[in-house]
Amino acid sequence: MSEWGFTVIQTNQSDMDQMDRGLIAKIGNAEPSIFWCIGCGSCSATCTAAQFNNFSPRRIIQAIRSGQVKDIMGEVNKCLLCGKCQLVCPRHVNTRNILLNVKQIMGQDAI
Amino acid sequence: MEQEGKKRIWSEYQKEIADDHYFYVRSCIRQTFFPGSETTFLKILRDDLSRDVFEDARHTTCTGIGYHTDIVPFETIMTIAARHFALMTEAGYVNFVPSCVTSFGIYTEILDTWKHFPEMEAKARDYLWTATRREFKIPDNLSHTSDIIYRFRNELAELSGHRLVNKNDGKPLKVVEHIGCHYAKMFPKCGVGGAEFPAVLSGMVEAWGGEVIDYPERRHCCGFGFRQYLIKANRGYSLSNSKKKFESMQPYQPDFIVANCPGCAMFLDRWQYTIAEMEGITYDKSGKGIPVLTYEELAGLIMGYDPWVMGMQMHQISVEPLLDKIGIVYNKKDKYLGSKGQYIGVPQPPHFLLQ
Ligand code: SF4
Ligand code: SF4
Repeated sequence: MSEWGFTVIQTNQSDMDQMDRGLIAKIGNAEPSIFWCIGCGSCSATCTAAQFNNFSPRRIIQAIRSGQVKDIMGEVNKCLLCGKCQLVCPRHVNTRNILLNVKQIMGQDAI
Repeated sequence: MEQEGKKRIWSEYQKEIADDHYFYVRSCIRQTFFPGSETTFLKILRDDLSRDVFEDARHTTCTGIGYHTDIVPFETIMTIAARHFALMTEAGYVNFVPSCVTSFGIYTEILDTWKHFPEMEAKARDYLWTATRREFKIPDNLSHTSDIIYRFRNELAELSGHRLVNKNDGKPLKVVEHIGCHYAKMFPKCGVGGAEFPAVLSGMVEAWGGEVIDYPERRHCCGFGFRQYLIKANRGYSLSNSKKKFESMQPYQPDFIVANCPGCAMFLDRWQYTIAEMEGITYDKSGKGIPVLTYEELAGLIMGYDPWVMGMQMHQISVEPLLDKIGIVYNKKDKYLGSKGQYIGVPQPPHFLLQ
């Protein structure tokens, strides 16, 4: 970067070839409200954990829904499970339960 | 679908391309980065196809790059276009042929604006008269130079001595064709095949014996994008667009890339060097990169023109592997000789790209 003054920018597009639909199938079953999310970001704006780093529950929900779940566990572990996100959600998405389920499912898959 | 129906639909995607008597305007980017391309185009048209092409040394830049970076206002650029139309009118021509896809896009945009807003045309005429005491007629035909080569692709195939076939295995060469966004994405009716099925380059490749690769990011922008590139900190956007294309075309193992926009040809060629230096990656098996050609160079090659006279030593990616595949005889020693036979020096080799 320093040598060039610019660098390759990672894409924000969903790569269909990298898509993993396994997690959304399980989470959608356990907590169907994940499908109600409109990506407004109110949860991320309110999240206590997100005040201290680049954690974003909105981004996690988007990642699960678009099947881009490769590095998701490291992200989910930043959540304190306080439930503030759930209180502000205009769509009544149970974000806390989504994240709890990710921990449980991914934890089990790891075993 | 019935063949008849197919033909009828396809006819809607055709454009009229003038047959002769062209008023030719050069491209700032093309003559800088691919210095033999425009001479090759003129030579093919004049010597091989016996067409009349006129140039006026008073023609200037269209200022398209300044316009697309919000430095040159629309009133200014349309007055400059009006001046170029005036030079054409004064020379007695009606067929306007720009070499640059950026310029081509500018002219299509200005002509369309004048069609829908005649008061803007009146303004341009007024500004031009005030500044230069010139008047102009709107061209009868506006064709990009790649349209002209496309029109004569079959004649050139008959005249040519080479085919786009690998001489080692007799198979057609696999070609990535890249169309500049400003050719037909803004005004689809102005391009052969419109924005959806641009056939201007694929038509040439197929007529000359090659096989066009249909890869996922085929219609993706090369990333030039004017301000992405001009501001250094933003160049990553430009680079990443090209990288996306290279990654998408890589599995098809193209033998070369051909582009009709000089900006695209330049970026697809030079960014391969940058990506190789930054990440140690090349997109071909040999580690030499994928050669990138302008369509004039491609036409020149099949017509048997000397690659070094066409300025192909100016490419970042070496063209020799491609020349060898087609079976073009060239003199290795002439590569670094200038137009007067003088030695022009050998560039420093890159760290990763093999030469
Ligand atoms: S439950 Fe987790 S995601 Fe929701 S506000 Fe609390 S820390 Fe943030
Ligand atoms: S607040 Fe609710 S709707 Fe908005 S992004 Fe978060 S989960 Fe989705």
